[in-house]
Amino acid sequence: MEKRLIERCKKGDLDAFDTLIPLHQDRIYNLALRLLGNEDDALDLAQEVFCAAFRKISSFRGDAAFSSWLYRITVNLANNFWRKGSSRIQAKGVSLDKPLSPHEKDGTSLQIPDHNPGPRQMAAGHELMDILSKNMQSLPFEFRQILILRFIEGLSYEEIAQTLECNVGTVKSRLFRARAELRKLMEPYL
Amino acid sequence: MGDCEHIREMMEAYLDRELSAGERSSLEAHIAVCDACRVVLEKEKSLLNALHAVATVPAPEALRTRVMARLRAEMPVLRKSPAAGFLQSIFASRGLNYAYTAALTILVIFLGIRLLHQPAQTRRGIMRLSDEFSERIPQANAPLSSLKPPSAPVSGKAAPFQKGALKEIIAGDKAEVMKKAIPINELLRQYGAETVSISKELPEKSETKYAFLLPSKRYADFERGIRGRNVKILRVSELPASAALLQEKAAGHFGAAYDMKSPEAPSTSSPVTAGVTVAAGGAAVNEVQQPEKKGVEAAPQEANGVSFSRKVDLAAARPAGTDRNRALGLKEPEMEKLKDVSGKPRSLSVTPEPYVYEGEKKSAKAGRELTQTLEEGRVTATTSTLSFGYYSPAAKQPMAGAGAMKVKTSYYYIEMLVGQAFTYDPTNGAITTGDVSRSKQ
Repeated sequence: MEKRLIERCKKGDLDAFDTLIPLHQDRIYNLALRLLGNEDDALDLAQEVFCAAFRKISSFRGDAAFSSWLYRITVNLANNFWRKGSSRIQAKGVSLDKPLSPHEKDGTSLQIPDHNPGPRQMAAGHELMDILSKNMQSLPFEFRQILILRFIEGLSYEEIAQTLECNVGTVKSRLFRARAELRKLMEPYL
Repeated sequence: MGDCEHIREMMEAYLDRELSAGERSSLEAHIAVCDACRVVLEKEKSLLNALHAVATVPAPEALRTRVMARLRAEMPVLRKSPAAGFLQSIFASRGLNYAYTAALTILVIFLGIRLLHQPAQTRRGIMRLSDEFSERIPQANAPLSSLKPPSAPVSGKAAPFQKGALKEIIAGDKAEVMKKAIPINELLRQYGAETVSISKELPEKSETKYAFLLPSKRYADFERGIRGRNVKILRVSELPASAALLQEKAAGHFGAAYDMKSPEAPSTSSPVTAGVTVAAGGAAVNEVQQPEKKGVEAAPQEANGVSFSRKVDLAAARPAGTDRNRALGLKEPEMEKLKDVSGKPRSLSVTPEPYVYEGEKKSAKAGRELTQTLEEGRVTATTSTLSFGYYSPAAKQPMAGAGAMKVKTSYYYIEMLVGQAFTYDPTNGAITTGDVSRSKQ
């Protein structure tokens, strides 16, 4: 069924694409969410992914699964997104472009919530998973990306290599370093 | 110990189930006797478990809606006409543009034939439809960013248009008429537009020209919202503006930055330091007297449809926030430190509104920066960045998670003609002119 929908998309059939989106939207959105760390960016990115996918669907040859192809687009776009520094990741919950308050002149200063509580607070108040998510976000993007693909999305080395367009050796060594980094960050909580 | 080291190197592969049977059993044998390595393995396991257990959430409904809205906006002709859809399937292999052209040609012929056999009232409706098609042809299938303003008027005068060309008869049931009758102002507000100017000084008195900024993200929605209404978009320019800059403008900071209304740049004669103000297409809206014409050195530059025309002293236009921070005893982050935080060199930047939040153990800093890209001494782009990071003064480096946030909301500058509506009342067959929303209430 997916194959037939893709064929229709290639002919420019938007309704077919509309049927195709729900089959993949959760996985792509979640991947985007993990890569970028907040819902707004994830939604933007996922939107870009699907639009890009439709625009260049004729280049999808069907050698690999459609989902892998979408994955590659997601990872590539996330890379660009990250490089351009457009992520709002650290500004979650804070809008600096909003006026401070309607009564700005009364002298109240902008209060920036601290998203990085100390280790003790974290251990006391949060589950390991929360801590992990937070620590993942503070890893370099390349490390986070590869950890997500490997352990959360469950891709094989081979698949990661395809997605990131590098060789398996690079995947292995990057994964090794990423794990070491993450381990270092997580050490106090394990 | 050498043994332990070797075992630990194998642990990852073990947990990934990528060890050979022999290696696996030797690792398991070691774990059985070595407490230290067992602890390490347990930690690794719990880390992996946590990674595997990361919850998935359903994608928001908005995702699909937005994607489809955008794609549909990119190919409006195909979506609208079943005839075009048919043609498109024939011509798909030759490329979409060919299909558009062919579809249009046939449609025009088809409409022409139909036109001869239609009563006058419907005829206008069809004319309108075909106008709409011809207008969209060059835009169809193009990404929004490549939208070129349709013959953008640069002289300050509105593009010539035919008298009464926008008159439209809205027929149909009352609900349909009312739907179309949302006052244009309300419609613009709905899509987050910032109205810059409204002008009635047009040759055809029944038409009104609007110039406004619209968040580019909302363009597709907006385009859908005005579809079928008696409006004509004259110009769409991309504006490398940002929400922050507009806020600054709203707050009166930066003097004339993005001030499209006022032709008088308040500080044209003040010393130029770091600031360059952009008057985005402003000349076209209000027949702004460009200060350059009066002998100020820089010539207006066109980049992305934005003309950079005036220079102001940004340092002098610093908002009260700095003083306020000082009065409150809050420290002002220095430029160098902000550079430390972002780690990126900038060609030219100012932090007009710095804030410092001194937490218990660490400090957070946020600053607004206006960055300009200079090429051969001319400003070619202006972006606004809100730096936002955690900076550890002791470590002289950003804390974990520090980063810079770029406000990427860009705006389209749009000029649009809004025509007077003619209402058709199906109950008595009367056609009335005037604002539909008022006459119908």
